[in-house]
Amino acid sequence: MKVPFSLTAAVELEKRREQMLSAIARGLPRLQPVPISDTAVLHIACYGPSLADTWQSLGRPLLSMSGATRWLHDRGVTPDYHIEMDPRADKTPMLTPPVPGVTYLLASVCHPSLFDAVSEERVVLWHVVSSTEEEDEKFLLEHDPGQWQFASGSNVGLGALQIGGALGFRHFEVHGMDGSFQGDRRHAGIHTGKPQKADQTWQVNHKQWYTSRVMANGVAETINALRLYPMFCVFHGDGLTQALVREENIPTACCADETVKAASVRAARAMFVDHTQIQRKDVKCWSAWDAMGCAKFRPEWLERFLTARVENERRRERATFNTGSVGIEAMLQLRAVCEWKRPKVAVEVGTFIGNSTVALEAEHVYTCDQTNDVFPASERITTFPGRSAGEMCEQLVERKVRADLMFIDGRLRNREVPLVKLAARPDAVWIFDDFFAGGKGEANIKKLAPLLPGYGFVGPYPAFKDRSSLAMLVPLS
Amino acid sequence: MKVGFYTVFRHDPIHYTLAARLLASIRKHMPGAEVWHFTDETSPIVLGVDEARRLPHGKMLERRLEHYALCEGDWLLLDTDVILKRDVSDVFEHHFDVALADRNWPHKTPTQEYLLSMPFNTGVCFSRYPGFWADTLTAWRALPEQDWLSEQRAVYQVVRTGAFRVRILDGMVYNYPPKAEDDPCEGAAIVHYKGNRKGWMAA
Repeated sequence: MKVPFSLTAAVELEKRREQMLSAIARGLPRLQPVPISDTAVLHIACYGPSLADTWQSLGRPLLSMSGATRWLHDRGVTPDYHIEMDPRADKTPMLTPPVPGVTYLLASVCHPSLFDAVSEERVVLWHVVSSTEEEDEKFLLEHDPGQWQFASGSNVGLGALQIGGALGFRHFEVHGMDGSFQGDRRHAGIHTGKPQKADQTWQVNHKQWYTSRVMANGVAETINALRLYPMFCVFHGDGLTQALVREENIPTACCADETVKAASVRAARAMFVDHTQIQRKDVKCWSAWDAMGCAKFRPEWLERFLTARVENERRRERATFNTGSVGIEAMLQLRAVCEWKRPKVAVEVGTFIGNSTVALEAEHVYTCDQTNDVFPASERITTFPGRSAGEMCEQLVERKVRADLMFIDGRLRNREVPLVKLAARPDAVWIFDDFFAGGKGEANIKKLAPLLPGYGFVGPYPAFKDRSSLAMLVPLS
Repeated sequence: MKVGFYTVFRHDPIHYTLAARLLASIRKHMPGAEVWHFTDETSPIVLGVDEARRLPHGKMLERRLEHYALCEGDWLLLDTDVILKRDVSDVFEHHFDVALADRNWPHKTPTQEYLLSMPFNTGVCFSRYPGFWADTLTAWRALPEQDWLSEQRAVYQVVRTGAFRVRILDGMVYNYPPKAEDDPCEGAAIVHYKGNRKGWMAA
């Protein structure tokens, strides 16, 4: 999502550097990242107006910010952490007096008066990227070597997600991150910072939200962060950010009232796959598919598949049972995953006119089709026309052939599932077509997943939206 | 008459699917037209076009304008998310250097910003004089912001110079954005599945 406005920093770099030096000189402990837990949850209280509607469902541990810490404490909730990264002095009154028992995570750019205000409490120092990462790295190498710097984004809510990662969390319950006004209110309570005007509008699903340029930028950055980082976020309350989270349908984030999806997001686990370095500019919408080859499709693949599709389409008139074939998008995905996996053996269920067969790049491809016999065998492709998945896989197992990659584009019967599984190597990648509610892909995954412990699920490729319904089960190790 | 469209392959093949549909509509309604694919050094050529022209890789909008500035004679220049519903070669019976469609769509009222800075959508352009596009390219290169809409801003800048004969066409006929997937698009000669409507055309 494009960050809409080009804005300048509130405090000039020279002043921020001065404040960083002052903070470094205080001898405070530094924030040290800890290993990330796959299950622990951090609750984050931002200070948007909707916090007033949802604060009673906050859990612990709790990280808050801005005026939210005092606001919550006044209501009997004492956060565990407070995060601050604004360099301006006008934030200090909101922290005066400090709340006892809170650990204050202060960025070194914060105004010295802020440090003075909380000096009796536990304070941990961290460095936020203030200009460019390279310039800040040089500065820190000179003045505070060996310490971490964190790229937080333009507002403290985003900073909380990054610092939350440093604290060891990947799952977040986010309250009050609205990015919009509620009436004329920008916060749940008093805020001593510079007032902003609700002079921008942003329409989401026929509803007009009022926001400011600064807030609009933060909202766009939030959506981008949700797409780019391996974290799982459930958003509480009602605001522009929450509305966009709902509309953008990000796999790893949702609103709390999307109860089915929220359960799934809360239970989700991050899966990391080795991949060659991918340039960020090549990837518009990060997905595991990108890590497994789809970040870079080669033009020669598209050229070959465009021609192949025309040739294969002519086979359709000879088909006994005329059905659908994979689209060009799915062909590119299959080819890309083959480029990543480099399978010696690929096994396919559902040849039909051969579009997906052509896309499977392996030393040898075995493919079956129970109802059609229109795609010819070749040196590299062994066909099993008129044979079911179970019949083909039984023969492959007898021949001691095991697949590195399985592509299932047919509905598997229960009795043939164990045979199909036997025909795959323990580290095979499984790709399924027609993954949608009620589709054969969903049914096939439900049958196979229990037989594949240690496998992770990858949903359809977001970059292709509803033009490809391929999903995967991939080995996690 | 020649018809030209520009598309390159970066990651998403959707424009190839769209281009194939566009090409089929051109063959159906203007079978005598010569169809050109303008592209870069590596992108595949859309199957079935008559000719292709490649220019080196670069910024898409800049390259597109460079291609347009090489088009001598009568050209219909189209986005790939466009479908012809009938023969439109009769537009060339009029005198103009370039004919552009307006945004007077009652079902999709343009914002103030659009009306003031880019009242003509460039998804459909009838072109006779490449000098118009050469000047547009110059204007575009001088723009401080070269975002996705900058080409249309540059076009309007050149239109306002008064140096070219510009014919304004009815957008409801020559550059019609459908209201819904099942919109029959009655009265439209050229339908433009702009923005999120691409999915309707690709389906």
